[in-house]
Amino acid sequence: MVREKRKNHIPFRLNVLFFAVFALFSILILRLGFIQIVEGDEYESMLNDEGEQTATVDAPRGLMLDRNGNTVVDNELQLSLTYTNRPGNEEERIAIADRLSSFLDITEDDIDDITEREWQDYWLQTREDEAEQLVSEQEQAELEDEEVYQLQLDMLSQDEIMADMDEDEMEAVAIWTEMLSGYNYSPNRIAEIEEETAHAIGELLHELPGTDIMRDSVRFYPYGESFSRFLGQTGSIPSENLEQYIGEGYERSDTIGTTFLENEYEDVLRGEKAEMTTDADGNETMDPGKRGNDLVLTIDMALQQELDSIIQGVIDGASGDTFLDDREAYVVMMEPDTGEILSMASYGDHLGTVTNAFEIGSTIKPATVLAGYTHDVIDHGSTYNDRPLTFPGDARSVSSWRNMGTVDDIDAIRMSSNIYMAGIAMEMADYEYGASGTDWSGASTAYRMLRNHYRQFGLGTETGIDLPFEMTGIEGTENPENLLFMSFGQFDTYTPLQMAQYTATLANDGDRIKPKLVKEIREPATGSEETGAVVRQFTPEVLNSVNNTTADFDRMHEGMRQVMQTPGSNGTGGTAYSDFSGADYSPAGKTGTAQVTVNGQNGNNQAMIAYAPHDDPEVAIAVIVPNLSTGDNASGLANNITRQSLDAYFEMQEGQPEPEEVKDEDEMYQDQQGDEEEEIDMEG
Amino acid sequence: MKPYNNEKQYDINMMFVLFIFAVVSCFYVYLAQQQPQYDSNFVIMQIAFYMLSFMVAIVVLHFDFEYYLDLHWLFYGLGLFMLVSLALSPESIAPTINNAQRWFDIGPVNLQPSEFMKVFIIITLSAVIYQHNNMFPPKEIKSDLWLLAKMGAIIIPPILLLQAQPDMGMVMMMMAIAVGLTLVSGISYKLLMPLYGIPAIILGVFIVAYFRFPDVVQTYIFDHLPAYQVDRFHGWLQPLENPDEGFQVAQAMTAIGSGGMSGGSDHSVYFPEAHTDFIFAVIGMETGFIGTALVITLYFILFYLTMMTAIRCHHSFGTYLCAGVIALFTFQVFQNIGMNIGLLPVTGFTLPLMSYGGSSLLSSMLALGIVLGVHYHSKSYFFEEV
Repeated sequence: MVREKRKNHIPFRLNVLFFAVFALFSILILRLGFIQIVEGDEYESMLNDEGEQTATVDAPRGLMLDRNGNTVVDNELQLSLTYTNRPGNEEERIAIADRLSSFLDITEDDIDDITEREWQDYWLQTREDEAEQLVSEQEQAELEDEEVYQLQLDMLSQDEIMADMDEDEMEAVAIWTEMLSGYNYSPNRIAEIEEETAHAIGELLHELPGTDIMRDSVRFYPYGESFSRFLGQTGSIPSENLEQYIGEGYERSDTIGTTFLENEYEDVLRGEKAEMTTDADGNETMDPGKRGNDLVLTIDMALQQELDSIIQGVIDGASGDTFLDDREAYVVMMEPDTGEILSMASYGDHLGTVTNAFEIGSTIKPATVLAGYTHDVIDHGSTYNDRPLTFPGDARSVSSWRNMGTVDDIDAIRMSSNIYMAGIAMEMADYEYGASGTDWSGASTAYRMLRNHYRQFGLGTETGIDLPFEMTGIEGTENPENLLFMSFGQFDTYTPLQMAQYTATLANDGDRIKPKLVKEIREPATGSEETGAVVRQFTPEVLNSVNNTTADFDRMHEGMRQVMQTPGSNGTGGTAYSDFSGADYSPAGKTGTAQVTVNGQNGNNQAMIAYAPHDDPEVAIAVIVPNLSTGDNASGLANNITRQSLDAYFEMQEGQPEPEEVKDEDEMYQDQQGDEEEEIDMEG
Repeated sequence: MKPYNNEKQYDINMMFVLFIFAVVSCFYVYLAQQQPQYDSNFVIMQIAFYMLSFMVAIVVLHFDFEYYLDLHWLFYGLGLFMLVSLALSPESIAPTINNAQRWFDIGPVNLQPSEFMKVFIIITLSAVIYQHNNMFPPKEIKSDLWLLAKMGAIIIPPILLLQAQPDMGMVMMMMAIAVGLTLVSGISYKLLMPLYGIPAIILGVFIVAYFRFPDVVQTYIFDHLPAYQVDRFHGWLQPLENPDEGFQVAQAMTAIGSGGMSGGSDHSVYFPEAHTDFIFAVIGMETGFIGTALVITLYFILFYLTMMTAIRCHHSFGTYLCAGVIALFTFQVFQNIGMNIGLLPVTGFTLPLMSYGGSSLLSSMLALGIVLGVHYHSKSYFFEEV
């Protein structure tokens, strides 16, 4: 009976078991229903995204050519070894570093760069047993892990560790440190490698998880430092602009143009990445991508090099006490009718041509005279008595370099009369020289008239050049006495580029053209052609026309022609006649000397503007040599540079020489450290 | 005495279900080997394995299960001996694969002792329960405790050996068999409730805490565990968010999910072990919800037939054997499918009767052979006692 009783409850217990089975299976079915029916579409679409994998290969940036087709900025293939960190692969990383040490060239410097902490960490990770012996068992039991670690660190000195390692291992440590420096999951360049090394490592990549070989193109400058500051630099996206670039379709790791032309024309130079798409079935399709478009610069590289060497020659030739400060000189040469800049040369930093502003002295006089015409304070041929002027309550007297007596407008330009300009300014201010009861109440009107007119030439305003930034010079504080100084160029300051635009505007009879460094955009050249198809050609853009008649300009052309072409004794001839005698290209121009105070000493800025031929100008030039001493040894530097530059220009029109490539390899590559934070110093 | 039919009867229904399993299994193994990572023909081997294991089952069913009552210590000893010798064997015949030593690898034969041990454990536990219940009056806490102690003593040695391999999946399987058998053994609910209820509640609380109070779990539990075990938990409970740890599961779930209602996705999803541990993902991907539901139903029918055999058997030892087999299969199927769809952590379980593999198939058929034998040797009464 006992057995029977037992048996009777077995079926019930079996049913409980069976119910449990049923319940478990129901869970499975419910879960499956949820995954397959409810979420099925999501998984399906996840696969659509996932199954198709796209790998992109960076496209090279466009090149930059000079106006004659010489490549100024080129690309060169750079192979680098990358390593991608993942959390928790310490042992693997050390093993890889060890293997790589036989491929990579590690220099003493690399080993010197390893910090003590890195030596310690490597030692602790590779010698666990010895590391444990550093700390007694009791200490290990009592202390927290971090304290034990700190104790171990304290007991290891870099020298001991280094003594413990052979040279190969030290190299491995150097590589290991590089490998560690990257972020997790993001490839980090650990070394630049040669083609051969790349092949050798390439065969082993599958044994070195996380490593890869990346093919980058780096910028290469066949002409070295000539003009290179304006070409700009490439680099990684600055973090403050990251969002903006990512919004434009860039990837975090992309290289972009960070400064100057590389930055200004980023959207042109940027290539289309090659895309390799692998669909779910493993079929690969390749969108080959495209190199970025090329920029054809307005710069003539041969001329640029020639002007750089002319400046070098003239400035280096000056004796030791010629300059009161660092030696500087700037030349900007452009085509007046197109605004194309042929050269921006300098002694010292080329950037100064757009960032440094100077008092430009008498070179401003044609603009002052033209302002006088416009505001009806003088007419063509109006005369004025050039003699020293003194003003009540002002110790400074105003005079020209000699007393010229009665001069008309053309004489005032040829001989460079300060008093004629002062006369115009006083007329504008309704100031009657010598009359009692007259006052400077109209000075601010005169300031406005003059500055407004100068701005029409580009002086004191943006020239519109295709660079990310430019300086506009500094306006002095308005007060009545300085008005007269402003009229002959010793008050407000202007950049060499502004001077050049001013010169070009004079040559153009008043059309202010936007200066530019890029002439056209071309597609990359394909195999057979030498240059690619033109994508866009920049036509001259007139920013504004100066409010003067052609007859007004003719007066000034004549005056400026006489500056360079009219002989005369005792200062009656052109101020630059002697410097330009024998020039067969009919130059016109204006000299200028601004009196400045440099480091507490009286000094001069020498300036010169010129264009040629005077009746149909094809080239305009502006030159400034600032901070010169007042001594004789300093005289004529700007005129000298102008003469030689124009000679060089016209000589080159006869036969175009090739620019010279630099020999020193180091000069051809972008400075890796990068001077990305440009120091912009302003000079008043 | 009641009249009964002495004629032996084969369980034709179950044999037919097993035949369907063979066909379905070969079909899915065939689909699985279309995965790009395979280039061998597993289907032929699977057919051969099925024929071999059918023969084994037919041989087994002819043994009267009542003999096992006398032989169970022998089986148990044989199982333990295999496990011990595996543990003592050198690498050459017992290689370490994936950090675990579970297989004998002697010439062409791969043998996993634990696959047989689980069948032997069913026999031994059933026999012990049967003999215990014959000896002691029912419904006494004291005797129930004594039975639990005996069952514990039986499963602890193999569990320790399996843990040393390590093979946590098999350990859990042993426990599942024991749980199933304690249920039908008649041990009082007063004992069973706390025995199973408390661990279940702890697990439930842990899972809820993991999702609702991750900080607390991190501070009080995960900070005290080795990192790889913590990763396992993350891989289990959040496979899609932890692609490193839950890679297989994420891939399998994606495959199953993409199958939708009726399968036939255009995409191929890579997942490892497609023909063995993750064959359910192939089922889900290629034939969708309809396929998975049918396969689960097929298992359910198999269990139902086993249950009928258990109920009809008037020798309670046979009933215990059947219950053990149900517990074994239920656990294995639930565990395997559960890990495929992200319900349970990944363990190296095959889907019985479906996955490719000789050892697994042979041990499954061995167990089912016993069930067929219980049916064959049951005396079926013409008139049921009410």
